Amino acid sequence: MKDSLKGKVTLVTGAGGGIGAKICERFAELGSFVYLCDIQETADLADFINAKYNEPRSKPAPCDISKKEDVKAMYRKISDEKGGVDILINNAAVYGPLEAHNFPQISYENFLKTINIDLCGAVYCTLMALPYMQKRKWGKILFSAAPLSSSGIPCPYLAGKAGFIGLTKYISKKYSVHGVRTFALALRHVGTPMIKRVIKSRGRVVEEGLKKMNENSLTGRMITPEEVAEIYSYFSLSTSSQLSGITILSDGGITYLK
Amino acid sequence: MLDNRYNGRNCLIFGANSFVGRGIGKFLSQNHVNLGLIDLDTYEDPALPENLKKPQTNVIYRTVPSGDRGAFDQTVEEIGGYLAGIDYLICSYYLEDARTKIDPGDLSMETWDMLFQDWVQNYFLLMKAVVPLMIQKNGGRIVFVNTTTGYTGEGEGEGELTGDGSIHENACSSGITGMMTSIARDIIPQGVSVNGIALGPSFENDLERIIWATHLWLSGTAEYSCAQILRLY
Repeated sequence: MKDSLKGKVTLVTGAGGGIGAKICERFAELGSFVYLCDIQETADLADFINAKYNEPRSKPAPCDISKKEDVKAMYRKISDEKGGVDILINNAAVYGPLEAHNFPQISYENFLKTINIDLCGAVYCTLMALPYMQKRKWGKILFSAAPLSSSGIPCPYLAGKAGFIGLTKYISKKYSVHGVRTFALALRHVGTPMIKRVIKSRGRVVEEGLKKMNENSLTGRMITPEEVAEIYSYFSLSTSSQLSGITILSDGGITYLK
Repeated sequence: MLDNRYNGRNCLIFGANSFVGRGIGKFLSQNHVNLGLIDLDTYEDPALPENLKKPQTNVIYRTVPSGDRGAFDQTVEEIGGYLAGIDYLICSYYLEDARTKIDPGDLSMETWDMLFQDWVQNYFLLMKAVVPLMIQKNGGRIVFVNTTTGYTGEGEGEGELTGDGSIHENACSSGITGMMTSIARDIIPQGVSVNGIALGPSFENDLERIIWATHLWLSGTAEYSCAQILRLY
């Protein structure tokens, strides 16, 4: 397990967030070199990861993925340094807008602000990753999706997440023959700072909101970022080589059992 | 001819010059529905209103530049005023044209930007302009045209893909499913239903089924459905 991903290059978008950081740590632990893609500074995270090993296993890849020129420049740099990306984890997302999130109150500006990151950014990264994966006949593309059955999710956010479920299946169907596997994880609630911001924006007390969310889950709690990272790592390893094009629902059993 | 349930209703069709837009327009016009037709500039067909007009129906035709919020707002306001309200909205993207323009192996970001604006952004702009008018009139019915290429199903990904199209088409199509699902939940309490049709690879041979599916949603035959996507393939 320890060096299962040795020699592989992983790009994690939204690396500086609650889930992203844990994914980066986990993939470095498995031996992969990890590019930490985020619009925010990730030097501290890279230092934290690299301090654990004898050789550097991560590096910041500052990028606004909603801008295609930025994405192209990032991939050019990675290509020069490491050849390309073997594992792409489309994790970056903004949950938005937090204010006036219902339709038709949601503004066009806020719609674009969210969907340009959540959907367009992931599409840009995926389009750039595929040629190298095809050439190498090996690649993994992972998406952070959401259950479509969840209520109260703003339309640009759900558009991005639904887009991933479709993309997961489509890319798998088209590109499995080239050695590219895909996988999406539909997450309902994850114990990160983002979930607290969402609760607060709805005018609710954070502790009460969290308690309610935990109670709604049949497991009595939300999934943790560490568990999310573990699931992603499983789908990047050879032990899951026959799995592709699927979306796993992680909602504590709410959708199907409650 | 159906009964008189459509008499005097007003329908706005975006993508009026698309294959599906023209087909639905013809069906509604024959059933005495007044039509407001909108096309993107690039798809303008000056003969379209004459071709769709029937006795006892009003038809108004306008074109808009893709992604231009002001033009969408202004055009919808004008058409809403001319027809005295909008009861139905059909969002019918020019899928047949997109499929001829985009190679299945195309991986360019520029193609994505074009398709995303023409399809996803314009659907949002149109809904944003039309839904408040429908809410003012205590209700309305929206049907959006989608494809099985990006079909995501009701739950977490059931439903097979056709395998046709492109990554660009798939991401737009499945993204629209999510967008419409969220919007449907927001506006059904105000009397506006949102449903969709997912078209398969040979939809141009399947107009009759497309029209019947549209009829289900618009006529109220499927009155209690919302956020459903009827898959045709």
